[in-house]
Amino acid sequence: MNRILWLVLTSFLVGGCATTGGASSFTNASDTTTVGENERRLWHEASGFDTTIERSGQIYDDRRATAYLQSVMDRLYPEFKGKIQVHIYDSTQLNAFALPNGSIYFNIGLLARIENEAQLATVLAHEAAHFIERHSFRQRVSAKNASAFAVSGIPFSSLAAISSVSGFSRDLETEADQKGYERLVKSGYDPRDAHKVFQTLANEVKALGTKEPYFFSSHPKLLERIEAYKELAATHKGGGRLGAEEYNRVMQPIRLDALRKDVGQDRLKSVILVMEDNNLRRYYPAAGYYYLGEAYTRRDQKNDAQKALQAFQTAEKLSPNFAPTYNRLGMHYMKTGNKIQALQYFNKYLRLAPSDARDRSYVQQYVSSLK
Amino acid sequence: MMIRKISALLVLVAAVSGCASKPYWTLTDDANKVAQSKSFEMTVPEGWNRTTAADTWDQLTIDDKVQTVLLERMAASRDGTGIHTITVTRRYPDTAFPAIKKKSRANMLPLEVADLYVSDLRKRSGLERLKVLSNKPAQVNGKPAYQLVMEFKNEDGLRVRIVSHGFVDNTGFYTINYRAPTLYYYERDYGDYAKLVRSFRLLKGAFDPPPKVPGWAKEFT
Amino acid sequence: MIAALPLAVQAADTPHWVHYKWLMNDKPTLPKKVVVLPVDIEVVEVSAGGVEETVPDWSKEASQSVFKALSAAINKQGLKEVAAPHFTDASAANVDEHLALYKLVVNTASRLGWKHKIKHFDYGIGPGLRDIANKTGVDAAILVYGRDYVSTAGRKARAVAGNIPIVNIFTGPAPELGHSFIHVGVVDLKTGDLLWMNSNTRDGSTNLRDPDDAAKMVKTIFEWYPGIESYRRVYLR
Repeated sequence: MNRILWLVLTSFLVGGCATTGGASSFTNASDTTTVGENERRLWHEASGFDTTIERSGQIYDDRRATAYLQSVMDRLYPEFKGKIQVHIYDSTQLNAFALPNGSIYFNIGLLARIENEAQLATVLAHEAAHFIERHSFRQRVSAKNASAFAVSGIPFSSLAAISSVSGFSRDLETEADQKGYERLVKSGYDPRDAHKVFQTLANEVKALGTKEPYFFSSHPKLLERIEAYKELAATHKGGGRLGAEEYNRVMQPIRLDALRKDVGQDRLKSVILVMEDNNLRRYYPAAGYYYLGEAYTRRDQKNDAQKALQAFQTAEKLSPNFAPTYNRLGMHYMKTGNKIQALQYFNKYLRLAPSDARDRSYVQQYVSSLK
Repeated sequence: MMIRKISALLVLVAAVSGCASKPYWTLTDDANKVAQSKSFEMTVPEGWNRTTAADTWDQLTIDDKVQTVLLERMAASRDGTGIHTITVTRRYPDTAFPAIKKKSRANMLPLEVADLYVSDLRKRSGLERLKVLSNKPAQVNGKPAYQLVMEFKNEDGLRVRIVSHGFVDNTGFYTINYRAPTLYYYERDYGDYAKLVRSFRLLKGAFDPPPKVPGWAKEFT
Repeated sequence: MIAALPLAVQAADTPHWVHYKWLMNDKPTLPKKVVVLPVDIEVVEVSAGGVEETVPDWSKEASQSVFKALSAAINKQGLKEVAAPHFTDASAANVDEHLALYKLVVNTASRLGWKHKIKHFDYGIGPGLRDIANKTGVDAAILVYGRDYVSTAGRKARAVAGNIPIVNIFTGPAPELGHSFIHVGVVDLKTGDLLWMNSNTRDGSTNLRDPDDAAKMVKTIFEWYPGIESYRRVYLR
């Protein structure tokens, strides 16, 4: 019994003394082929995630936008071209994450909020820094040791996911800030815009009172990022690429789609916040007013019906070829007994909407019933 | 608090065991093909298994809070609910769309009902990526309804399809859903589902006042 | 920690399942030539704190051991094994989706206690893989999936400590040690009928990377092939 006890306690002591791992950073893509077995396991698990994400249809299908994001990443880290792969993740949550194997996922929700290429590059550079500095592996080693003693264990069954989605320790985040910033400047981007992406997120998180997982996982962490980047950029002399035009051209369809998905997933506050804020709305296509109208219709609070009608009317004026607006206007007039107006709008919808449009058969039914 | 919950659970278990004279599932044949609950009835295809009595409540986590929601629900399956199921549900007007906290109204258009249902289903099931493949007007029991076809992929990449017929009236929101893998099962059994939809009838019991959440259920809310 | 295990619910006497088409026929036509579709055995290492990590090299080894064991078992049954064709892109996606459907079907079918389904076992995955039969001339495919949960040394030490009074106040209770399971099905490629299936589960001392351990588990599974008479005797009398 004494011998067993001694062996058990020794094994815990030995396990507990393991360090956070003196893993040095990768310097280029070929560095990454010589990782040790433990890290290779983590990568394999991450590749399993890649497969699951792809298989279950969670990749957002926009080749142009994906190629654009990849080109920004390759500009930031040309020595890792072919190794760090950027994917667009089909979720409107405000999030981006890096897996230990160099896969980086950027949610459409976050893409919709970013204003220009410099801000995009800020986030990409930060996420890539997590990969290059091997943060997942370093954090995993300490988490695994900690879990050996923790009776309750850790909430995630997979180490590959933990730090990637829910955030790294403060030290590792700070390191990613610094390394990411250096790379941002070296690649010719204007770093003075860097803190703005975090400011936009912090404002939105505060306004919505959201608890859902988002980039950097906690509000205090967002405030830290804002201060960190302001401090880093304070010494910058000025100038650098912003890339607003190209960014906004590529992102227009994603922004509209993000609004559509937010309505469909009942994130009505988010839609209203964005479309009622002059600063945020200016980046969205005019058809976004349709989704504002939808959000008010579904929220259905006092005066929302009137606000919805105004939003649809604005959409009609500013985006006259956006067919769904006419369906909603037709439904409004049908419900309020104005048959002539209703028919006019429904017929306009039928002229503009494609033959396989989702609401077409409903509108055809309304037209038949009104005649 | 915990002792009260455990006591309530023990009472519940005792009550259920004591009343366990009828099995939960029964195999349908010519003699017992009509599945009836208080508010509705339908004819279940022969060779399918169906529930013998309606579930009358459900527990949902809405905004991190567990809530008991009253409903009436019956189910049928040929090969096991792990593979496919037909579910017929009545939700009461005040809790018609519980995850998005919306009520139903009798004058809602089917398109509006379908839109709210999809949002509610996405939120309730956590399936953000649930895609709507089609949404058309339909009829159920002579009432204007929607017919939604939706699809998602599970973690193994298996496509799963859900077809839903639904309508509202002043007694609540009714759905008749069929969920099955798109591969093989969906097409194989769609005809049986369509027959069931055509046979669906509302009963007088639908117009009784809605029940209250029983005391024991509140213990688990 | 434990993924859905296929457990034979009805089978005190017979752990396996036989399609009703075989039972109805006095002399059913059994497959002669079979192809083994990609074997999916995942080896997962579980740490002291319950953290799971898939080990790719071990998974590959275990899949190879099980594949070899299957080949031997098939041969012993007098079946001829034909090499699977190479699957690319669309055909690979089709096979993957059928394997995913197979997993769902066997997990449901093996747990269901409905007597009429036991007597009239009629599960399948549809005829979507019949192209494989056309290309290779085989009658049926063997589908396999399994998992091997392996405890780390730390977890095993915790298990020992967890059973020692007073010590376990500090270490916590003994954690569950690993287990292995393999599930095998024979599918008619032309119709998709799941003609026969069986599974085996063992405690944490089994190691599917070890050819002998893999062979023992597969042998146990195939002891019940085709087992038509034994199934008939138990469920159709």
